[in-house]
Amino acid sequence: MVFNTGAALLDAIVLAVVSKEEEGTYGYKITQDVRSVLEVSESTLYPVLRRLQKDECLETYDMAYAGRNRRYYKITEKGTAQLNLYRVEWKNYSTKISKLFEGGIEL
Amino acid sequence: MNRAQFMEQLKKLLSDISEEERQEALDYYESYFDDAGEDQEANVIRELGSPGKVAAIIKADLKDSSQDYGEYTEKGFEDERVRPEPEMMQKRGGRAERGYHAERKGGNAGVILALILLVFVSPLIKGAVGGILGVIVTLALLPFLIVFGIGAAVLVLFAVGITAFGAGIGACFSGSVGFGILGAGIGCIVLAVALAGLVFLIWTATRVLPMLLRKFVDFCSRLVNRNMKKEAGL
Repeated sequence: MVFNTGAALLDAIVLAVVSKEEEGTYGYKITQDVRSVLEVSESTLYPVLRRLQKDECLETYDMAYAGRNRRYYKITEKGTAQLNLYRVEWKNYSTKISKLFEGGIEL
Repeated sequence: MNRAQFMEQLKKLLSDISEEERQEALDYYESYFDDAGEDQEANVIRELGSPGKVAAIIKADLKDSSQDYGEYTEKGFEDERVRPEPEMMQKRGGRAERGYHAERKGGNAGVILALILLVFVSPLIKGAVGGILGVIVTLALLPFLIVFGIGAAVLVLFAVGITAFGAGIGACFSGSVGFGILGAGIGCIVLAVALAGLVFLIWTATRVLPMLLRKFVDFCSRLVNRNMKKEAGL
């Protein structure tokens, strides 16, 4: 992709992906889901998840799966609020850019 | 490299972060391999890149989110990461730091640019500022002229020294050994002087000139500031 994805946008995308799963989702699946919309390296997402978890936007719990423990990530209330903020910001940002590109904006 | 080797190396590379963070990261990647399935093992390793890269990204992020924003030296890491452009919404320490640097650089460049401009327009504003600037510019250029002169002298001395030495050696072979040795000796002395000159030249060019330039710039900016204040006062 020609456009860079800033840290905030990546946070927003991860929050959005996790929020889609009410019961929570796990690292590998999150990575695949994010990668279905955005080219990111697989190694990029762990720090993002870890940071969001520390910021209490995500919470984790372990559940047994196929004879081992799998860590699930779930969005918190704070995370939902943050995601909504990101949604609004993104809407403003992308609308302006789109208008500009499509010639509808007066400069 | 297989999964076990990958994890082993990652563990080693993460040995300098806290036990908690290390275990968390290792658990995550163990799970990641498990969830990807054995048949994807090679793919995952290829996609993740080297353990070094994975460790670097983890550490860079830990550093980023730690309380101490003071140091920001890993531009390389930033480049390696997939999100190198941090200009969007969040402000973090590293970013501010980088912005600050850029500003400072710009400031310096501005002063230098102004100085160059000053030299060029100095004849034009000569009348206005009473020729003071012209004199200052000439004075400022003087050290450069001196350095240039020393440089030329050193070059000549080198040439003379080498010629004398060569002629002396030549004379040795063509019979007059006494003159020959004398010539070669004088050549050596001249070369020594030239070398000393060269050392002096380098010292001047690297130490004295920048210092003079700094003083000159300071002086000029004080002068300009004062003039501007005066104008503002009027």
